[in-house]
Amino acid sequence: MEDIFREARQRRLSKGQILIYEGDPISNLFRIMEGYVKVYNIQSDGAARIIFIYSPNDMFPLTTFLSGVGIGRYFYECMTDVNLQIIPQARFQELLRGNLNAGEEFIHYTMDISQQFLDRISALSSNSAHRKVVSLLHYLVERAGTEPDAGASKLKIPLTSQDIADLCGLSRETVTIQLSKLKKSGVISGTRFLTIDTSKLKND
Amino acid sequence: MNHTEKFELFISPSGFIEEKFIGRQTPESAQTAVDQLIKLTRKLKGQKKRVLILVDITGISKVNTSDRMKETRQAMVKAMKEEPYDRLAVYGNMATQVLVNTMALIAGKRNKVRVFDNRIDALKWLKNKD
Repeated sequence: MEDIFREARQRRLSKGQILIYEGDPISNLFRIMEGYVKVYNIQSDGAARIIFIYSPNDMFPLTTFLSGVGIGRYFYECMTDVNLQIIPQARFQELLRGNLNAGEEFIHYTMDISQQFLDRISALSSNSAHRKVVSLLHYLVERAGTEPDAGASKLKIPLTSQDIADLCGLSRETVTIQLSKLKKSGVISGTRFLTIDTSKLKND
Repeated sequence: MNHTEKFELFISPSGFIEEKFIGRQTPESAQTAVDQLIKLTRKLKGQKKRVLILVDITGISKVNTSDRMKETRQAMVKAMKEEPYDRLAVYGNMATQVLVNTMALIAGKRNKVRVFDNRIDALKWLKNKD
């Protein structure tokens, strides 16, 4: 992928900036060099539901690109300052065509990301608030956590209770109760940049 | 089960080539399925017929992305790129749809290859002459 993105242009965005709005026509493919981007939609009750978090080296919007629909299905918003590479989808396709090695790498990447999407959707459909929050913590360690040091991983993105509620599809009040329990049992510590005890999380 | 029992290949009464995959594939079974599909495609094209292919991958619950399947994946991309078919419609679960879409992209044949959730939509597109 490095070769393909060599000719991409770069763009720097600030935290909170929305890169793609739902319904936007999309003709580019983006790759994150630094920072984090959240993908969400707005539910019929007005609540945001965060579907996914993209981290460095991730490419998006893949589903829109692969399906050839050309219209954004979600909002893409910077959770931190973000440095991006941007390449027109048509050019990406041209460079990928017939390139079996890059193709193989792209297949592994798309399969991995789609599996993570399916896991997220499955976690969101759980009936247990506790299970939803625990699944989310596993996901966050994977996507945005530092390498575990002495069994603890610190998240590189700041999260409020409301963000966690939007990520779990729960109310903020329910999330606050669940987070208090997890703090009490030593699974998490800290406030905005959570530290997660991965060994305790595994046993939870 | 030997590898020819992991798929079925036939010409439907509507004249489509139909291939149905059954269960988890091995490199050998997938390669045999591709080889036989290519053979039938060339045969129909040799008879100056329009070649429409319908592939049912609903029986594949999990995609095997291991390195053992690398050659088979590349053979599939090569077949998508070079074989003389007119349209290829594939239906199955989301993971397999992503895989087929990605392969079509690499082959540069997104106009001739489409993925669907279900058979009816796949047939509708295959039968559409536009």
